[in-house]
Amino acid sequence: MDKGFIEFKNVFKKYGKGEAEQIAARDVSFTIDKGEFVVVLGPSGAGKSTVLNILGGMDSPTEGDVFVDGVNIAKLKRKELSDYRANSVGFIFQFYNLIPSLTAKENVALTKSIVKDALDPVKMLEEVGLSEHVNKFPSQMSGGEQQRVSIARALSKNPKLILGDEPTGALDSETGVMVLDLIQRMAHEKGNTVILVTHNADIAQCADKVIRMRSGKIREIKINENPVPVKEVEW
Amino acid sequence: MLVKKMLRDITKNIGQFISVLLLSVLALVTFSAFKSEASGGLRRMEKLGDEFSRADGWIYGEGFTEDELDAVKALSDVKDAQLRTELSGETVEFDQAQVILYLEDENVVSKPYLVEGKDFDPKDKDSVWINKQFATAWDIELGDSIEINVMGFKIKKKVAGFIYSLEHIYIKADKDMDTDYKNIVYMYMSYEAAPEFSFIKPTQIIFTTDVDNVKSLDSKISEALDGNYSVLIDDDSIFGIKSYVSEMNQHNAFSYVFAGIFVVVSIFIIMTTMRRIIEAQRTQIGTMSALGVKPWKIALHYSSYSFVPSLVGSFIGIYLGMFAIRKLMFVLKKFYTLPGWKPEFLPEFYICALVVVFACMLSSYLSCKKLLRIEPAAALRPAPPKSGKNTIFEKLPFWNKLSFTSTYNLRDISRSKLRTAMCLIGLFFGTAFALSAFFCGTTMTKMKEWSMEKVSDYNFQIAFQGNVDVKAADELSEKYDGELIMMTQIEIAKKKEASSDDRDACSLVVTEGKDLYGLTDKDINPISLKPGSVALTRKLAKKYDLSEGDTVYWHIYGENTWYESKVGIINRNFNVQGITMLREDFEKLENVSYHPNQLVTNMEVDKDEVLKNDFVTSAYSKEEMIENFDSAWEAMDALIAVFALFAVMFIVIVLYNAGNLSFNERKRELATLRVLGLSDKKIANLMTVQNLWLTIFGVIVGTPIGKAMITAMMDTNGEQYDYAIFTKPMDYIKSYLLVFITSIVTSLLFTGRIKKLDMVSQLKANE
Repeated sequence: MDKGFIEFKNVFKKYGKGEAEQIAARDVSFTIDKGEFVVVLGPSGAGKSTVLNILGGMDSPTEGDVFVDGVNIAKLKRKELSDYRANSVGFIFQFYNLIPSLTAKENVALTKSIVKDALDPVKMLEEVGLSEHVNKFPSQMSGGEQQRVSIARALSKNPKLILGDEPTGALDSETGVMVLDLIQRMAHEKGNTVILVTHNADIAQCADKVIRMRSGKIREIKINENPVPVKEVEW
Repeated sequence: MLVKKMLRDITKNIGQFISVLLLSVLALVTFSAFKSEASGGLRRMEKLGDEFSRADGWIYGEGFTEDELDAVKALSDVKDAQLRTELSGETVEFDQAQVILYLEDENVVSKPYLVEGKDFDPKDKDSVWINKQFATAWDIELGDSIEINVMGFKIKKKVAGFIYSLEHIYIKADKDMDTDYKNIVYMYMSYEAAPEFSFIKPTQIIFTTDVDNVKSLDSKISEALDGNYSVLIDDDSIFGIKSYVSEMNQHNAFSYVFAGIFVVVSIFIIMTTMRRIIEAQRTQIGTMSALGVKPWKIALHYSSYSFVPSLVGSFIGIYLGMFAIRKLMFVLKKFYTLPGWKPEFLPEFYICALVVVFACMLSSYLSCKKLLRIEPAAALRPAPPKSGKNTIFEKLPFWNKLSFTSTYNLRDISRSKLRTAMCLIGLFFGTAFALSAFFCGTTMTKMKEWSMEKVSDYNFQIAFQGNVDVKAADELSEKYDGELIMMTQIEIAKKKEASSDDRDACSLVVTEGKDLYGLTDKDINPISLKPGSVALTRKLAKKYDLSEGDTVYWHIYGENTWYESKVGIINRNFNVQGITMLREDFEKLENVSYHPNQLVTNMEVDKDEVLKNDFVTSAYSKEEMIENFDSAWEAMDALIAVFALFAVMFIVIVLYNAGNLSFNERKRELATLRVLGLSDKKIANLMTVQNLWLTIFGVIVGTPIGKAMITAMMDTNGEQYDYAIFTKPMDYIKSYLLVFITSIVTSLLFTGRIKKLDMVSQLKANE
């Protein structure tokens, strides 16, 4: 496991100016090793999504540095950030964000237009257990199935890290468990670095590392020596 | 409260609502401008017609008596009638302008409109009344003398009044392509002022009647005159009235067509915009229903979204149209003279505005109707994502090989049929307008070539007095190795002595077959006339279902003898409709006298020298004729500019709106693509490619529409014209470039918005 694969160093993120100024992240610092399954926990407004957005190259910090595999993404320009998103990050969204007019296979194959060495979309769908649904449109699938397509899409880019923003937030618990199990296996079996943002504390026991946030600050970083497999947790 | 909500929603979608407002403005501007001047003109013509007893019927013959006049007057359908003689000649000074002289001894029908001076007195022996435009063109004042040469008699009279004739709303000299008031004068004089013409019996009986179809009186008049007349015509055969009425009817037609096009596009914009707003406000509608707001109130609320911009736009359009036409009337008044002609404010404008507003509101209502039927509980939940389904395009054998951009766009087109339809309608008409603009340009150039090189294949035109001595004309023709041309008014029919309804007034051209006065076939290729036959113009041949080898019957205006001729060829001429025959054939006919009107030649002519001949009234070089042609077609430039402007406006408005809608509908998808790492350029490319596809389709379908549109427009010019639409490959290239460049520039407007797309907020939102 590479130590310090991701490093947040004294990161601040401010929105607005003067009286309207809001600080979403205050002096946030942490490290994540390669292949770790990390959960960022916290209530609404804790700043966890801000951290995820910065890590995903969708937002930039006001101050501080963010190293991913040795590259300070806080200093990247617009075009470089776009390349970073394309080549290094796989996203899993709360509301799946699939393209409604594309089939499951085409949604995954979309990454072929983005990265050169994208993985085979049908294989990816098989891996997430959707071999029977490759030609279905998002509207013809359940929420869990759609989220699994989203995971297959994220994996197909073979990214350095996978980011999930409340990936089970829109799913019922049974489907949520199935999706979470898939995400945990991505880290523990395939060696992907996975960072999930959630307010669901139960998920924390499945992670290798838990970062608790409140009011833009890190309150606790806890390492689970023995993370619990998702299927063994009582939800 | 709902009003505030509406105003805020409109502000959020200001682009689309401004488009609706602009299109409503354009619809009402074109409607009110065209309609007000056309309707104002036709109504004014009718009013002055009643006031000045303008003739409704004109009976031409070789000479009428008082008894015959009384017989016509005695007809129950005839209100009033009088005798009149119409003669033609030229002025002695003033560049020997063409003269139309009316001799009368009473003036109860077609009384001239007095502009200045004293009223026309049909018993005055010393005076003449002339048209005001000619007086203005030559700075002639009341009391000045004017000398004219008619049938070899020189007559000099004092100008007692300046007048307008309601039979000459439009005038042009025979030698001109269009109005040049310096070259033609009409004048009224009493018989007593011109005793030289006492040997001529009055050639016309003009009368007023309340009967709508004047030609239906033909049998009664024939009975009254015992068949002793050559033709009965109504105002549809009077050049000075017919030209004006045709133009006004054309403008009337434009008012409906243009307004209709703008309204259709408005409706599409409203439907697409409202559908998007209403889909986005699904939960708000659910909330309002749950709170107990009546469905009709919600429907009214959403219908009112298009009410505001269409109502404001329509009213701005009405007043802007009226303002614009008041400022532009001077252009029309250069060509048409109708005293007191003003654009007329019509109640129809409000009706048209109401139709526009109603159509817009109805399209809004239809857009929200479906959602209002959903139970409030269901409406409170977010709508399920738009269903993806297989499209017809997937049946293509190469579907699986298509790129992501192609599959994505083909599915998007299938899912957004209304938006696509709006784009296509805009592109169809945008292309049609662009093509019309360039076709007009080419048509202008080619018409000039047709007229100046193929029909007038000569370098010099020498015009003669009406009563020219043939021997003198022949001598001059020999000297200049030219061709003599005679032009006169005739009536033609498919049957001998057909009833008035089955005849048409047209021209007879007599040439010497030297092809200086050229004939062209339907494809504008030169053709020659064979002895023993006549050439019949295409439009009349079609109307009477005559072809080569058939017989056509005709008689000269004012003469009663009918002739029959074999149609040798069908020719095409853009402003002279009728028959053309050879001099050798014409001179063989009985009861005709050959009087050439002009000599045309390719030899160098010393203008001053040729004008020394008494019978020569004017001489024009090719350069002067071309100058004349160019000034007559000046108005075409404005038409080209209007078409080009409409083309660009249509494409920008429609594609910008479609782009806007498409961008807003797909914000989340586009943000997802950005988050996944698709570059801004590639995302912009997705939108541009779709626009280009639609543009290609729009151009393909818009091309025949453009051709049909310009043909229909040219056809509304009236029976006396047969304009050919000329096109060249460059017109298509230029039009398509205009359409494509406008389309690409409009697409580029969205590149910046893609860059500014907030990925975070878009991805947090639920669909």
